[in-house]
Order: sequence, then structure tokens, then C-alpha cells
Amino acid sequence: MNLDKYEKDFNHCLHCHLCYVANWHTIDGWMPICPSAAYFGFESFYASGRIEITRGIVEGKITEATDRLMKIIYSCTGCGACREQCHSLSGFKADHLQLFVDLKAKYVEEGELIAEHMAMIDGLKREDNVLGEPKEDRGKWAEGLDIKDINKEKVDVIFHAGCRLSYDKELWPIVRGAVTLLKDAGVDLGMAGAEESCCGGRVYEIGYLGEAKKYAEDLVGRVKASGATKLITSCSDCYDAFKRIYPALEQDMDVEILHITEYINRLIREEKIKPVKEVPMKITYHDPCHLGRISGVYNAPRSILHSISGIELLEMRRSKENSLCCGAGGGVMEAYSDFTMWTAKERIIEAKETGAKAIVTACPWCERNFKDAIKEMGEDFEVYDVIELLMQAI
Amino acid sequence: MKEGLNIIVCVKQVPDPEGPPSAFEVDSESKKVIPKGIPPVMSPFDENALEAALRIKDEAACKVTVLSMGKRLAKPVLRKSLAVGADELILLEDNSFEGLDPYWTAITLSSAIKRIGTYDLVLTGRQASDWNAAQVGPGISEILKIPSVTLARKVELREDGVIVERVLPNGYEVIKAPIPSLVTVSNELGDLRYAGIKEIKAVQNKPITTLCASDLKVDLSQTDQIKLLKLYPPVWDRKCNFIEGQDAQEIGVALALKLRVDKVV
Repeated sequence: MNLDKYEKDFNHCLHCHLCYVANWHTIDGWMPICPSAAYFGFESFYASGRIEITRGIVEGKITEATDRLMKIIYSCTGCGACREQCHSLSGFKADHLQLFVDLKAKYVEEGELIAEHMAMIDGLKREDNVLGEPKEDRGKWAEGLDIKDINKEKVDVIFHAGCRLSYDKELWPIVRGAVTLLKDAGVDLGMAGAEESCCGGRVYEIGYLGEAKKYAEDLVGRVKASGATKLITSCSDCYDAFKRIYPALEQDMDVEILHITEYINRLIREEKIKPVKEVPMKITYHDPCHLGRISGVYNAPRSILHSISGIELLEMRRSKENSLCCGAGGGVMEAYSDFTMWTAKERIIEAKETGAKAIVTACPWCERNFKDAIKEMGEDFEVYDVIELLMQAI
Repeated sequence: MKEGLNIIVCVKQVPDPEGPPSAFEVDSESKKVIPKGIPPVMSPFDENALEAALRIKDEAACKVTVLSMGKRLAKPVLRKSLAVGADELILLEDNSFEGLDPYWTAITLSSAIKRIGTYDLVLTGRQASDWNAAQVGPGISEILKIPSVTLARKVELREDGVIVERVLPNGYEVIKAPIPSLVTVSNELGDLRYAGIKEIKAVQNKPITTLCASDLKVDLSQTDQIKLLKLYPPVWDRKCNFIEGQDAQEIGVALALKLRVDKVV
């Protein structure tokens, strides 16, 4: 991986450290927004530090891939907060997200690999999912729902469950609820079942670009062959992969790509889905990084929540562009679980400060992480996906 | 099965052959294939060879030593051999080891094997997944003056020799060879066992031995006997012709004639 192309970026970074803080013009106070900077403290763990490291590599001053260097590079969750703050506060238009992926890709190409990521890649190669679960179990979440098989039938809409939702049984009500809502709304829906593969987004973020492209090519081929006009997913990571990463890998699909919250919100506006029951609950909404800050989808999930009678939505201090990552992204959950857990707990503390009784999100990785954090904290606090709450109102 | 044996497995580090075609950039100028966005891995046939060694170890106490050579080897990748159960990893690392042809590779590996001294069985993959030369294994056996059996789908060590099931186009043959022997292993033997996170992490700081050219006393001053003259990606030229006709039958006949003229059928 040639990092020379970033020379302009590391010459322009002023080390102002604005990449570390949430935008104080829009929130009350000074709050960190980069999880790794907040947790590890040293500037090397800030975006500015990683940019400086890139300079060191390009200038030949950093030649050895030490354990410490690997930890600095791989503890970036890929949440995009640094890019957002840098762009809005300093006007410096570097693509931090791509730079840090390319930095990881350089070390992947050289075989300087993180043990946990090696195991994840081995599992992915064997079973086509990042959890290393049996491939033949992939479609089990949909048993009894009578969803069309896109490998055999033409459909208008493909539902892609993603790795986490396919195998995390505790989260199955999210996907089962989503496809039930779509079917009841008359959507011509299909899925790939056991033949569905990983989107490749997670492995792209940890620098295995070739592996990501392989999965992107497979999925794009499957989508094209299906004749579908829309690709829907309940996973924010998959959504970002389809929307942003696939074009970066020169893999384009001539279909409309929608997160489930975008599509359901559309169907509610068209009165094909009608939330009728009251759900009295004070909640706060956590913007998943891949859906919110990176993809710009802030309103659709909130709009669905506002359509449910009885829901009182209380915003956290850090929300939308200023949202704090849950800590699970970028391969960090797999490699540095203590750091991931600390980040999730910080977010839960912030969520509770709103007075809400539950945190609602739209990404299974965030939900899993929050559930685990709450369990460790011993808190009486609920976690829901937007779809789970909507199902209560139907 | 005989106990207390020493097995040496030669493993080559190659760019991940399972990467997409676009991950392999051919640089005709430098005559090199440059991997893009893919990690180095153990060559898959060498993984089969390591699995063969581990299956022998499953049955009887023996020592499995993994040997790999190159200019700059990826230690996390090769440590995987320890994670799955090998006892020792020896890396032959030297700038002069870059791009050696199979003859000199066999000489270098043989020197390392002689330095190890005691060995009852040497295993290699049937060929490496990058250049597919399939010469290093038999080359080592020539230099060490030990018998070799190629294309093994099963390897069993006994008191009086090594029993090999050797793949044939329509089946297999069973061969007995003395100890020590060299066996090249094919994919029919089966995939390398899985190493979990716990096993991979456990070996990250396990000591490994590194040897350079001077340690092995190999003279690599005249390694340019075989020269790669040209390296280029294949050019696929596609032309699409539509066969016209009044009806399906006429189009079919025209297609058949066209295929015959083009000598396709």
C-alpha cells in the first residue's frame, strides 16, 4: 500500500486536537468524541497522531511494526468522528477514514497481523461470516417466515441480514420483525438464506482490502442476478459497505440501497405500515456511526420513533454528527475488548443522564455491545433496535 | 506408529492465493507480481503438509519443526504453524534469499535441514501456490540423498518406514519408503486444522529461531543461472457476434456453421 498520496494531509495537519472533541458550537461543553484518544490519552492515539505516524512511515523513520505501533493503528474504531470534526471545525478536508484503512492495509500486505483478526479472517474464509459460525446456519433466523429464496426466484427487494444478525439469536427479533413488517406491507421480498455471505465491510476496515473485494464481487453478482430493484439491510455496517465501500472497491450495484429504517419510514409515510398501539417509554437514540455520521442518515430512525405514540425521545448531549461511537467498530471489538467495553459503558452513562429508560439504536453491533456493557455494569437499562419498538406499536 | 521421531515441514510464505484477481498486479518491468490488499499466507499445499505432520503427531509423540525461508518473513503468519501444534519454527531470513529459483531454494533448505541434523521425515507441499514449480521438494531429496514420494493424500510413519497413499489420476497407490524420506503432500490430504484466537495469541511471543545465509554456509553468489525473461498478464480479447436469421432453426444452423468455420467444433 502506497501511503505517499497522503503527504499533503500530514503536512496540513496542525495537531490542533479538534479531532478529539465534539463540536462545542452545537453542544454545551467540552466532550471527547474520539474513543481511542479518550481511553488511551496519548496523542499517538488521536487522529493527528496516526497522521503523524503515517508521515514517519512514508519518510522511513518508522520501520518496525512493534506491538505498541500495531495497537495505536488498530485501536481506531473507524467511527469517522475525527473526519467530521476536522472538516467542520478546521476546514481541513483530509479523508481520515480512508487514510487509516490504508495504513492498516499496508501492514496487512506486509503480514504484520493482529492475532484476533487472523482468527476472524480464518473463520470468514471457512464459513463466510466474521463470527466463524457455521455457514449452513446462516438463514436459520428466518425459519417459518416463508421468505422467497433469491437464488431460485426473482424478487423486487432483497433483504440482507448481515453476519451479526444472522447468528446472534438474542437479536433475531430485529430481523424477524423487519421482514414481517415488509411482508405485511406487501413488499415482494427475498433473501439468500444460507447462501448469504458477509458484506466484507468489517474486513475492509481492518485493512484486508482484497478479502473485502472478494465478498463485494460475490454479493454484487448475486444482487445483479436477482433482478431486484432494492437492497435492504438492518445492519448499519453492511449499509455503509454497500453505499461507500463497494464504490471504493469499484463494485457498483444498479439498485437502490436502503437501511431498514429508511425503507420502513417510507412505508409509514405511504401508510403501508401503521403504528397504532401506544408504547409509553422514555428513550434516547444512539446514532450508529456507519449509519449516522458516515452515511448521513439521522432523520429516518428518529422519524419512525416519533411515529410511535407514547414514545418520548430524549437526545443525548452527543448526538447525530457529535455522536460517540459504541466502540465495536473497525475490528476493535475483536482485538481490544476492554477498550470496546469502556467506550460502550461511557455511552450508557451518557444515555442514562438523559432520564431515558432505554437506549435505542439501529445497528446490531451497537446493540450487542450495549447489552454486554449493561450486563457488566449491572444496570437496569434496556436496549432496543428501532424495529423492536415499532413492532410493539403494530 | 513409531515414537520420538523428528518431522521437518518446509513452508513457503506466498501472497494469499484466495485474493481476487485484481489483488495481483503484474509489473512487467520488474518482472514481479505485486500483491495489493492481501496478506501473505502459508502456501495452501504446505498447510496440507503441516496437517500431515500434525496427524502423525496426534498418533505418536514426535517433534514437528517448521522451516520457512525468504527475505522478510511475516512472523505472525508463520507463527500460525505453532498455534496449530508445531513444536519449533525456524526462519531462514536473508536479503540474498529473495527470488531464489527452486534449485537454490532446495540447496538453502537442505543446508538448514542438515544443520538441524536429526530428521526422520521431511514434508513439503506438492507445489507452491505462487509459481507452481513443484521442484523444491524433490530437489531437497536429491541433495539430502533420501528417497522422495510425491502427491501424498495420506502419510503414516511406522517402525520400519513411511507408508504413503499417492494420488493418481484415477485413484491412488500405496508406497512404502524408508526412514528418512521426503514426501510432498497434496490437497487431498485435507485442510490444516483451525487455530482459534486463544491458540494464536498464545504463540505470539514464543521464541523462534532465525538463521541467515552465513549461518547456513551456503554460497549464493551464482544464483542467476535461470533468468525470467518475460512476465505479463494474459490478454483476453473478446468479440461478440450476433448470428442473424429468420427463425430459431436458421439461426441455429448459422451458428453451427460459424463454430465449424472457427474450428470450435
